[in-house]
Amino acid sequence: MKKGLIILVTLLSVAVFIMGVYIFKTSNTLATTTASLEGLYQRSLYELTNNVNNMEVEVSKLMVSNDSVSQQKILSNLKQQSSDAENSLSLLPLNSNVLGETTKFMNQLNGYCSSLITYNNGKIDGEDYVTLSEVHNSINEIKTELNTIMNRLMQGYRISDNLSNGEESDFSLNFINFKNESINFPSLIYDGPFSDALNQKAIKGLPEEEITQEKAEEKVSQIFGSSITNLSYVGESTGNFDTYDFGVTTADRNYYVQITKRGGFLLSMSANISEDTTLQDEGSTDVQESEYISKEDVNASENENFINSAIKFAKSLGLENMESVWSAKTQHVCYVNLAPVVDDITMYPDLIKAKIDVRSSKVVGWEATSYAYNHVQREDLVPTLSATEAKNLVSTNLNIDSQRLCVIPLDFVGETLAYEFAGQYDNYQYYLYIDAYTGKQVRVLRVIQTDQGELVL
Amino acid sequence: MKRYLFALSLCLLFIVGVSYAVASFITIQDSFQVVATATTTSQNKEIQTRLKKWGYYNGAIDGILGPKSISAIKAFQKKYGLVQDGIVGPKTAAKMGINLGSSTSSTNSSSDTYLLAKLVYAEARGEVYEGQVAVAAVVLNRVKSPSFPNTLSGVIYQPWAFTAVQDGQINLEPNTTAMNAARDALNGWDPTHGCLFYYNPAKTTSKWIYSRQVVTTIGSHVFAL
Repeated sequence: MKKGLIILVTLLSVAVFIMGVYIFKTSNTLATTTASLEGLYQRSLYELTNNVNNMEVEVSKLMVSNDSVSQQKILSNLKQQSSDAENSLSLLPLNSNVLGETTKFMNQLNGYCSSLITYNNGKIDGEDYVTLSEVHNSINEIKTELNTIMNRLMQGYRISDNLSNGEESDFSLNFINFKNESINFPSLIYDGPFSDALNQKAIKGLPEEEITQEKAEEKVSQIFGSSITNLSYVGESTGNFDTYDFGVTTADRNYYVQITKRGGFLLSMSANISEDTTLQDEGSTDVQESEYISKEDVNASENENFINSAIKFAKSLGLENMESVWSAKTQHVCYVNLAPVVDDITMYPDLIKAKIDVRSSKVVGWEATSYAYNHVQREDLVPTLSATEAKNLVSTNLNIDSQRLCVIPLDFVGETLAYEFAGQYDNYQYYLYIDAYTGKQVRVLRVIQTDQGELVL
Repeated sequence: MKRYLFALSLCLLFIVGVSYAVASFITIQDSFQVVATATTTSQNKEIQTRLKKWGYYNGAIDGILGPKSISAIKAFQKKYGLVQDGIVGPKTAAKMGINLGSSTSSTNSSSDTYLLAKLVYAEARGEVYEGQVAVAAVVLNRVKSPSFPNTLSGVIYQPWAFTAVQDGQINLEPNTTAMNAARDALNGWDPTHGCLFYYNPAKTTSKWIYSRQVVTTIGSHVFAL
């Protein structure tokens, strides 16, 4: 009995010793990991403080500068600092509930500076000074908050020791004033990225009167015809568009269909393709950049069948004059972009994206948000410049192959009539857009050939 | 009696020790998964197999690059005069004779599509297809929104933004459905009409999320502005 106990105790002691060594080693690794994370967080906080301090100085300099060249220089610095500040903010262990407003302020300030540089040549006028002084106040308020936090950090506060409650951690309490309206953020309205103006986009392409859910259901039945095996109403969606949403089952797949309340328009439809196959690389088909490519779709002959089904589908919905402006085929699907062509003018803002199943040539996806936003009867599309005048404005480096009139969306708000010139330079294909009223070059795109179609940048 | 007490306390100490070690081991493994794994599970297995063959590694071939694998990689990197970061980047992979591009060979697959698909798979693989497109669309709406970071990776890896990033599920390999959903969303499909948030009402513990304006419900997720 005694012997047995001694053996037991010895064995346990050995076990405890081994565990001790192991624990020591693992806790060492844990300490290193925590220390490097702490370093990353502190670095972000230090950089953020630096950026905000610099921003404060730059804005105050703007207030006393009167020369457009130096103003432009200061605006560029301010833009860079606000972009860096946004980056530092995104690395802090805080969620968007806490930092959303501050992030928005940094992004909008960045966009506001861009628009002042681009459209005003850096020249600041009376109203901008009012906005800038509001911006200055906000930056000062952020600065005060950050200084309090930095002081705590210098007294030995450790960020990584205060993260245990996840998104409601002790660390996030330091930033309580960033979200409870103690900091006043000005509303920045400008023609540029992240502007508040972009959220107030009007829906121009849909009639005002709303249809009932029953009417919408009829519409879905019409679209799918006899192929429906089951049609169910899923619910309503609000947001940018108000829609009735339906689930449709046919013999081979499930669709999710959204019909707008205004006018009963097919806004979106999607189905998954090739659920039964294993992951196969289909190459990149980032067609989101492809909106303005030539009306003469380069892959038109290869993808003719798919384009025809897309156009036929558009006709069945009552959308006339649609032509393919771009197409790309992957292993299972072909993406086709359609735009209306009226009096030989291609309406790029009214783009519709279709997805066609390669095996059956059936349209299995439809995305008409841009059309719903922008489609109107455009009046008075008469260019001020003649085609020859516009052509003379194109760089002589470009060997022009073709040209046509089109309406293109401007960078952020609005659209304009433009001449599109397609041409070659140094073995690359380019698309150049000259404003048909002002003669300004409003856009230039370069085509990149990939295995799976083409991209424009 | 005293002896029994002594033995009992030793046993207790032993149990405490084991659980502490296991707990800290799991914590470390988790934190490393998010930071260090840039390779796929199958590539990780290949890395572990080679390191084991050459005597740097003696753990399991499980495709998870935990602390053991990372110290093995570091030892390998030390031997060949590479930067000892424990990450198999292009240089280390070349020395190991592993082609990191093997799973995405032949075409120039967009890394954005893949990253988005990983998030969709990790967050919503149990959802219906349109629910997966919707999750991908929310990520892309955040990229466009001023209140969030401006890049896809910035949005996905924003702290506390997605639970699948915190618990390491983001590193699972996505399936075809998730890839298709990511691709559709990149091509402009957005069944949520511009939503920035989604949550599972049965699982969420956050209170403020309920203050957001609800747009629609798809599958088990509620989508909100």
